[in-house]
Amino acid sequence: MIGYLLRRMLGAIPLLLGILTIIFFIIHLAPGDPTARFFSPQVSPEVIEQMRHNLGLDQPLHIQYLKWMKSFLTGDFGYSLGQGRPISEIMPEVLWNTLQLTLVSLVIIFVVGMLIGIVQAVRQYSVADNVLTVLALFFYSMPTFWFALMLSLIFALKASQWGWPVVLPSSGMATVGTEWLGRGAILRDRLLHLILPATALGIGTAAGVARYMRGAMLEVIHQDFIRTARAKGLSERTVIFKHALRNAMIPIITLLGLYLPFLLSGAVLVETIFAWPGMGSTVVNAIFQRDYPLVMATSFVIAVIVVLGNLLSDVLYAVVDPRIRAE
Amino acid sequence: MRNPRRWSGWAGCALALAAALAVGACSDERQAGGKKPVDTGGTAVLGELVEPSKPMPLVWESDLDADLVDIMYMGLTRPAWRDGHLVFQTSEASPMAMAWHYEYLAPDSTAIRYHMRSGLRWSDGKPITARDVAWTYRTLKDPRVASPRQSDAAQIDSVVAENDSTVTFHFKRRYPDMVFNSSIHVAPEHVYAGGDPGQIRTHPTLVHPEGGRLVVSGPFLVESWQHGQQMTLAPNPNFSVRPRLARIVIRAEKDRTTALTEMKLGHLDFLRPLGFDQLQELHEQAPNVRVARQEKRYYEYLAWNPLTVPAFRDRDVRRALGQAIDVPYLIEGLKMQDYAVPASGPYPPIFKAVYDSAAMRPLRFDPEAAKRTLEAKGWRDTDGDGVRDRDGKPFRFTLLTNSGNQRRADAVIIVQQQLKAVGVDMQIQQMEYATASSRFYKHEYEAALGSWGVALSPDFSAMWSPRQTFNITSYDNPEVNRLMKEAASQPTEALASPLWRQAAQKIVDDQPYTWLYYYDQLFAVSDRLQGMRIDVYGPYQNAWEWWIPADRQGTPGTGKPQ
Repeated sequence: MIGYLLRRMLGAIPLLLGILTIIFFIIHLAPGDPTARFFSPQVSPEVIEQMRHNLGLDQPLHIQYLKWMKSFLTGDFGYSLGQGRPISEIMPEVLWNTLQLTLVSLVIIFVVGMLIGIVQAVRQYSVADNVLTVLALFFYSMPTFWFALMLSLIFALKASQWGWPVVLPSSGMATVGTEWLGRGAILRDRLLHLILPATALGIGTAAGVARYMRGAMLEVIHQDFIRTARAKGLSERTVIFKHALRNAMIPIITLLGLYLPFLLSGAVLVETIFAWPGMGSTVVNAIFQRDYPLVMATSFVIAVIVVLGNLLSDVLYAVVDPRIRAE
Repeated sequence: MRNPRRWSGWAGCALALAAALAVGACSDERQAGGKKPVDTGGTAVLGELVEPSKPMPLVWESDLDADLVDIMYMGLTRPAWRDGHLVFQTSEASPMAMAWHYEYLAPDSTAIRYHMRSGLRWSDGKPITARDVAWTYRTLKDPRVASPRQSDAAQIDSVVAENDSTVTFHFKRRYPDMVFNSSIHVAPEHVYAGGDPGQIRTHPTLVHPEGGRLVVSGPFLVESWQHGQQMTLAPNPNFSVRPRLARIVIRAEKDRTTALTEMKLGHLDFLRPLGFDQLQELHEQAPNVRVARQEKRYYEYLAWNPLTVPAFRDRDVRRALGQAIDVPYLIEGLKMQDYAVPASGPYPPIFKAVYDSAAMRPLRFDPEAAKRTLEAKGWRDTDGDGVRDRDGKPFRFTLLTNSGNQRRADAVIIVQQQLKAVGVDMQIQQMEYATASSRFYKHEYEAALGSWGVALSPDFSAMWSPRQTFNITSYDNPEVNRLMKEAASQPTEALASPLWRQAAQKIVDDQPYTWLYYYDQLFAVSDRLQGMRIDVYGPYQNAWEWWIPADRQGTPGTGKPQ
């Protein structure tokens, strides 16, 4: 298994380098450059040219590429041109921020999604199944940004106006002044700030997982080994959660591999709406500002996450299915 | 913002610029009237859609940076906007001024001597001296620094520190902006001198300004900074006046709808920018929030590019297109009624020295006259398809504007309909900001909708002289060129202003743009934040005078005491 993992990781290296090379040239070919934000009639073209020189943007593109690649291979991502900070400082911050959001979303996606799917499968064609199907399709087809704005409107603004006992925060990661409070209060404040963005990010995907789970479970619970398990007197709970669920997990694990990179990199709208300073909004800002080093660094991290996400799926396949492990 | 920002960039950049008229109650006036004592303490929470970046006089990067520089660094004098004119305050009128007196060395001299007050200290306790002033200007002129304010030093020959408190500026010639150009914020020599000037932007105190590491001279320093979330400013203990607020928190809001929700919830004391389309919602749902404005320093325009559309080479055709657009209707349609007026030219009315209301009037909406002109110029609808044509070619062009700006997105649709009514087919293209502006400056567009923030100095030659980057319509009128050159060489404002007015008049006659409207920049301000003055120098300019009544000093939205 370890040999297999090593082979897979080594195989990913040329893939990553290829991705980075393509992104480097695409982002540099886009109109504008990092000095564009200084453009104004008050700033002379000579100053802009000097800025370009200071940033090394006046060099031929292939030289810029070779220099960047050399730094990258020595582990130096350089400075963000937009934030003026070392990228080695920025990335851990935004990754950790996104990770908090993603982990809570993943819990929503898989716990809620799988539970709903199981209930639907076990109670096939019941009223609950039909209602949950309609609800799942409703949330699945709802645009994330609209849902996020509705959550903000109802649970923040209207909740406040209608005097609800709990008003959820709709912007940022912390309430102003929380830093003066104790650790418990800070944690509670952070969790409260997570509820709306994590729900907005996770609910649509959870609905999708529920549909997959229902289908997978239905396929499994009609198989002979489930009948056998029931016949030998096992409780229904054991039959469903131990025998059926494990066998129905394989397609869900595939989804995990697909969702993980999406959640880490693709939460742009949710992060923007809820002012959550994570990877998604960082990537978008970097692209708009033509912050080349930060675009490259974030692209690298996202590419690595995609590779690792797929690898994680493969490992989890082996965990739930001994046949794959044997192969 | 003060000196740093005399021009806005094109289009979206105008969002965070400065314009005119005091809006909030001035705390000085309150005190002078003796009506109500002001309280100290409390935290003001300001919402901004951009983040601070480099709040340092030589290398600021954004309009918000420029506003922060304004309250973190002193200059020799403190420019202010009074009754449509710039005035330069000494330390007798403003605690932000380092000099208590300045004088020209002779009546027609090209040198000004400044006398600095004693006892000035940087936030790290080191004395502020004339050498800091001389170093700041020396560094500003250094091409390796590539400061966006470098042009302020273009006419400065030398800056000599005669002793610790006396500094003399020698200019290359006498011109109206001599005091203006010598009033920029001063940076500390002892912090930045000795390093590579080309790498000043990555100086450790700029990468990590928090904890007071960024050495400042003004009333506030950076206490903490959670990137992507908020920057907290705290009083600088070495500034001569103690700010009334205990802290200012600048929150990075990323979405304008969420930011407005935060404002309505009372979580913010101030929000910038506020869209015209958000006004009604704010009025209806947030009675405790007032709308403040920087008055009409901006105008929106349609630019006609004669290089790509031959029809635009004809002044009468450009004029006819302008006559076809009902600007008052446009203003109403964009819900800007109380905050915009039809524009007539490159100087908004707030600039009293150069705006000429008698000579420059907005183009009158007259579609019949527009049709007659187009007919006379040979543009007729010969094939009955509703679009005029000439020599077999329809009058059709594409208007480019940036995406992400709802006002412009709505405006171009109204313009499209109005031009269609006179038989002109305008297609609409929206592009991401950097891409659109790049095409503007390279003249790779046919028509454009954009906006400018107008400089405090009347010199607009960077926009209307031939071969200048910002002359996006390739405008070239020898008479205007002569007038601009003559105006720029005048020693005083009184002599220069009539020439700038004449140049503006001729540009308006030529209509390289159709000027649409002068408009305000809007802000939302909560009723608990008092004493904010807003004029062309922006909303932050007197932040040390802001205050919050003692009974309302809990953090907004939480009620937690500070």
